[in-house]
Amino acid sequence: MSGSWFIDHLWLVPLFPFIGFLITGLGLRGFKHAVSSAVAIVAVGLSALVAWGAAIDYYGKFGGKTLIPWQYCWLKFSPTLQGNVGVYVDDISMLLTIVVTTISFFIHIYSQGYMHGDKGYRRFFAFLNLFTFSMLGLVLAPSLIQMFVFWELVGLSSFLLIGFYWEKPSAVAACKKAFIVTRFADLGFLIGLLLLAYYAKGLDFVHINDQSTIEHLNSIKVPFLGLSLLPVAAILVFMGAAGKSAMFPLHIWLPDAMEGPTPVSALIHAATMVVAGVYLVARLFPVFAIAREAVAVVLAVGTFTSLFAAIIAMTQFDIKRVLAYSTLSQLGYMMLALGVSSWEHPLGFTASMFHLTTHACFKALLFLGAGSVIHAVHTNDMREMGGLHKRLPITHITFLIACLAIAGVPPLSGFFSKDEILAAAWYSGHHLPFLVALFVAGLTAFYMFRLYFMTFWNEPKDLERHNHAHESPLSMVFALVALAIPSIAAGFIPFGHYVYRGELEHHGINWLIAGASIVAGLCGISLAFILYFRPNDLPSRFAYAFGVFHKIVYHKFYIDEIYLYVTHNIIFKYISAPFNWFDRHCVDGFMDLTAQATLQAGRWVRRTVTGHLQTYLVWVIAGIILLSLIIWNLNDVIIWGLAIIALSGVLIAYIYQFVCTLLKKTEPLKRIDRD
Amino acid sequence: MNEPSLNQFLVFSAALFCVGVYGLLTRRNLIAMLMSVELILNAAALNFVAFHHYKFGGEVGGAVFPVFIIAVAAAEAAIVLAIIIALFRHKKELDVEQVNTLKH
Amino acid sequence: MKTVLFYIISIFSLLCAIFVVTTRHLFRAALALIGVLTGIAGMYLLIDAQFLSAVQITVYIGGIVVLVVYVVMLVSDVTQKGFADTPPWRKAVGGILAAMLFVLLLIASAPLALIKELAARSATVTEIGRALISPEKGGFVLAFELISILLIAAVIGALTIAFPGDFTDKEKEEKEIEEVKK
Repeated sequence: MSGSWFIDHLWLVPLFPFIGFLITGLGLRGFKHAVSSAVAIVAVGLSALVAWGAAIDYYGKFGGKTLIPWQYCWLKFSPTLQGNVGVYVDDISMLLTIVVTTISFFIHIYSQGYMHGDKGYRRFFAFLNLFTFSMLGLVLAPSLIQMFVFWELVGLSSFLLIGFYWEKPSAVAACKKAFIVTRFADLGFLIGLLLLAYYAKGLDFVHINDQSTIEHLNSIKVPFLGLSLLPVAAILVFMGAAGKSAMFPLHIWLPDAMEGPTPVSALIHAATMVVAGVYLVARLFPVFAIAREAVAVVLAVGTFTSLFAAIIAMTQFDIKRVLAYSTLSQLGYMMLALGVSSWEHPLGFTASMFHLTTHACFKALLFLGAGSVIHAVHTNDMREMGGLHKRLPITHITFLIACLAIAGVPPLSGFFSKDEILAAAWYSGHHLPFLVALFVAGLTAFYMFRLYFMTFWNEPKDLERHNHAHESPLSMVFALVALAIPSIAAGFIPFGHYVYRGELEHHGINWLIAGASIVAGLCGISLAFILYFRPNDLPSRFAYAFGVFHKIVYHKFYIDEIYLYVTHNIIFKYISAPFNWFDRHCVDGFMDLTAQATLQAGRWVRRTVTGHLQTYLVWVIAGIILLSLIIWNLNDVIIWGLAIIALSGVLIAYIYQFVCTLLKKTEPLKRIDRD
Repeated sequence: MNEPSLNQFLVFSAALFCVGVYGLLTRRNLIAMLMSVELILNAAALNFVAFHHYKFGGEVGGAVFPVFIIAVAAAEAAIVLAIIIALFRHKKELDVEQVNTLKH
Repeated sequence: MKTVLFYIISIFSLLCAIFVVTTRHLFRAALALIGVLTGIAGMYLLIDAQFLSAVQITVYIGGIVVLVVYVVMLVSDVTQKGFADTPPWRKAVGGILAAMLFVLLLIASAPLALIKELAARSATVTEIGRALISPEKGGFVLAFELISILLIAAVIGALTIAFPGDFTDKEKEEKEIEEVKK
């Protein structure tokens, strides 16, 4: 009992969306569209209310402490190893809770307008509620096992929502891809989890993050590259985090995931689910802070992904794909920030969480704005847009705010969080990542304003689409405006005051770093202005000048093609195909043979059941003779004889059937549910 | 040499019994099967009496039992013959190979 | 003397029995069955069981076999001309099983004869009559009464089965109705 009603009843936060999911998904199938969306919105709204109450109480009274207001032993593996479920309250879980509930609430409202008239309306809201429930369960998890369960649940709801338009083959392919890639990554997470659980003898974060546990884990050597257990487990866990947060080389699913409806992209694939990986690393910060090798991996992967994705984003023309690569890049930023943090320089941790929050706001806003544009012009291709600033005034303004925020223009939120990441990288002595991050900041400004100018300025390419475009309905506009406010103002929150690890030295704003970041951003913006504000042939000339390089980038470095080649030509051909053959012909063949031999033996035995009295009499008499022989103390001989006769009968049936199969005289079995 | 021994009776009744069994297994006419059953019952009754005679120790059960066997045989014959008549009336058939309605 | 008689009777009975189970002519089979039963009645006489011998003749031959003969005549086709002959393999199976059973019985009965022989003697009619209705230990009054009930039940059951019942009547009615409709 913590003395705060909201914190004590924090379990209500995931419960409300779950009830909403049950009602919209199961209970009210026949109800009107408005009712199901209302149920979903109210459910998320209530949960947001409780979350805000709890957050205010927590940061006001218990800042920095860890509370577990409710916990229940769900699985008891052994007396020491227990899988607990419950509610875990600390600074980052409260932060994520309010981010998830708030953004989810606005996106629910937005979807009410965006999905209007869609035949999967109720299904959509049910899944959205399911996702919110799973994400909150993940965020509030007190143990690795609960986190893993909800980790898979968010993966599932992501899968369901990417494949929402299941009539489209591309959507089906995309949802399969997302699921398989993240599942593959989760394999690493699961192994890491098991390693940690086995050696640490506990799954609770409180236990695992304890210094003595970490030192114990660090002292265990594993026969792998001379590492100790801790970095190995941490790297494996990071593999799961990288899959969920779409870090290179597991990033391939995220751009394709844009096949889902735009609110889904905004909620799941920009603001909340993809940051689960960042959250997981942050949650295990004490582990990663000690495991230097693992942190080096995090840093390398984060830095590379941020640069790599930003370069691809510059060449894409699909509005949602640009935003998807931008998300990748920003997630790489957050990973970079975690990668530079340690107990000596914990600023990166705060910066990462800060950027996570601001990014959730302005990236959700960007996606919702893009959704609004798509809603108006019914296309995803930026080359067919242009000149929309008069047609969609509110969308235009909010989109501009978000672009400025992500480009790091002061005093919008993105400036502060990005500056903090740069500062963290600089002060911890990671100068190369700092330079890369600075460069990426410029690239980010460039591709965002490229997107902005191509969409809202320039000249309308398709006049018919342009003339039919109109401002979105009220619910969508409301969500846009509501998200624009934190995108502007979130930077002024004294973030380091609330979320920190270790002793945080307060730098204030280093104007040298901030200036560099502003200059990079402005360079990017002005370059985009020159190239894309008015129609001209400079972009194509640039593309021509870069030639091969442009082509490679435009095709996303051919990563998808490499994956396809590896899976199809190597894994499928040389590993899966023989296994498949073996399975089909040997394992299944043996099973079929058994079935057919049984059938055949049955056919043989059936002949003895003639329905004629005398046949039965024959068996009775034979039975009497056998029985008397057994009584005659010959039981061993008789029983062995019977067993041998039965076995040889089975063998004969098998051999007979096998010969029949070889001679193709067998009738095929009725195939039930193959494949 | 004057009196036949118990063993001779046993062998004879065993032979009679087996002839009955053979008839039961091979005859296809229900009436003929009934006659085979009579043979078997008589073989059993003869065994009772033979044991009773040679191993007499004040027990009369061996002599009483054949009476019961004859009574049971009478009851059985009555029932089976009734069945045969009913069957014949319905099917005009007494071949047990053809009478397999209960199989289906 | 008795031994010679025993052999004559036993050979006669066995021959009759084999004739019973092999002949196709049902009436002759019934006559041969009378022969077997008479032979066994003779055997009873050989071991001083006069009462049983009399019962065998009167009840078995006079009652049961006559009933069988009556039914054989009733259902006609005494020569079984309509019957397919039993296939030889079925006969072989039956023969083998019967032979095995015979050997088994011989083996089983061999040691029984070695048990100490008491003075050979059979129960008198008085003793049998007493035992049949005696309620004391060693008496068979319960079995006796049960057999009476069984016989009554058998008579009623036989009547029920053999009596041309409702079923056929209904069939006839239905057929008549159909004919009328046509």
